[in-house]
Amino acid sequence: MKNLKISKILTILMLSLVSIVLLTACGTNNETKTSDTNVKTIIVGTGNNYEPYCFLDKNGNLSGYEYEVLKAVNELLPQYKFEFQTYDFANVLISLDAGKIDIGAHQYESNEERQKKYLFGQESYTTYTTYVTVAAKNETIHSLSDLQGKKVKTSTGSNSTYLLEKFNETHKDNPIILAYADNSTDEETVVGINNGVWDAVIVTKRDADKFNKAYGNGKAVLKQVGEPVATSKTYFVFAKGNTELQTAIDGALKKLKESGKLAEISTKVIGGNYTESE
Amino acid sequence: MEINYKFLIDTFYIVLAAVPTTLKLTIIPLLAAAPFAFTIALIRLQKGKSLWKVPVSAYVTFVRGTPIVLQILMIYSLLPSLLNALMKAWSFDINVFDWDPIFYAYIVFTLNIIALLSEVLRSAFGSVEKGQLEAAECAGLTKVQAYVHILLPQAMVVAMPNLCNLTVNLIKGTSLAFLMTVKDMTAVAKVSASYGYNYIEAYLDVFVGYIIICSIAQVLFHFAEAHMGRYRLSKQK
Repeated sequence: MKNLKISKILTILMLSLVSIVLLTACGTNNETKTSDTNVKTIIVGTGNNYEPYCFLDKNGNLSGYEYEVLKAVNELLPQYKFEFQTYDFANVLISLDAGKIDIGAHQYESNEERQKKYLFGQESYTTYTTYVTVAAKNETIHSLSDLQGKKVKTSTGSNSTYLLEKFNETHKDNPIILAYADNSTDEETVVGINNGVWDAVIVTKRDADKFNKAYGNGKAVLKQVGEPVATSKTYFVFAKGNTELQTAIDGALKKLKESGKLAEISTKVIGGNYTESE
Repeated sequence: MEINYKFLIDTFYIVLAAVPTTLKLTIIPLLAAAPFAFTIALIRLQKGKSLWKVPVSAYVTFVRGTPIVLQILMIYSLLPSLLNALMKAWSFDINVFDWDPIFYAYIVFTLNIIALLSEVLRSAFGSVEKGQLEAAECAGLTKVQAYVHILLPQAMVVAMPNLCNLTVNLIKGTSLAFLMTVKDMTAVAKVSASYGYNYIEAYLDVFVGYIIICSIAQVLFHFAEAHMGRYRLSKQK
């Protein structure tokens, strides 16, 4: 009697689990919804914690460079209506896999590996040139090779990190010590470098300027040395095969570049024209 | 959605290589916390008023009432600066910022486990009848002897399921150690995923990794419970 009951409960549990799985699978395969006016709704996935690219302002509204650029793109593409959702850096990509969103916008850098998995735009919208960045008082580090045996703060997902790891593969005897710190705040970075928690960080010139402005009290707390570590650009990311959307957005970006509108947005939001070169 | 099977398998080995870190983050705090947790449990079980009861209860409430993420963020950002100030004040020539971050992870998890373990032990000792302690004292055993030989063996059997729960929760909790730049299983998977954006594969690997470790822990605790509780079985027959 008792066994019968247990097996009944188990069957019900299994059935409900299976139905949940089936239902969610159905949900993700839907193509972008079409409304009656033939305007396609496009879901944009972006971040909420990366100033000035994608962050929530004081009132909790999404703002930043990604948002402004895509808004301008949308103005040129009346057949689409962009809606924004925020995720963590990695979850934007996972949502793209799952078909929950159509565009990923989080300062994504392209490389061969990534192009196998996602469709990257052809038209970049930001440059991403990074430099070795150390405390302003540091006198010993002048280039990437000076970082051997030193601690560098890195975060997962950036091309600079990958280049540092490549560097270490050829310098196994005295590698750069990589300290992965995702989710750290700008303040932790500045304080950590000045306290000696880390010796350097690899960031863009505009990020370094931002740190100095926010935490320097008028003086420079960090400085950048040597040649660029990586010169890369950032692109919007699409699901593999979604070339229709990708070409439309590339076209709009091109127009924005030609009209000078993109440079205008960059200057207004990031504080300089970082759309073509630095 | 495409799964890159080569990456999935390669990364699984990388995740396995980080298993020792996860185990260290589990076992060291558990061992370090045990004596403190015992003391706290005994203080809280004492009859009548005790000077120590209030701070000890406050500590347990504090730890149980805050998310472990918050405990990590607070201790990881506050403790180094505090230690540094102390080292300077006592003019020790030690740079606390040179310490391996795993050291801070041990501290956070130990502080957390002290409070949780003390509650497990308190409930376990509470389950042993009071009369047993009194009887042991009548028979001429000292309090320490009574606890070690009479109460503890019975209490541990009762504590085992909760202890297992605590350990499994701690294993899963160590996945937050990446916040302190410690490279545990979750961290190495995320790092490997980042170059090719293979996050789904990496998450699957960690998923399997944690299930394996937690299952092993549960089986071990099951055997430990059966072993410690064998006196009960003979009684039932």
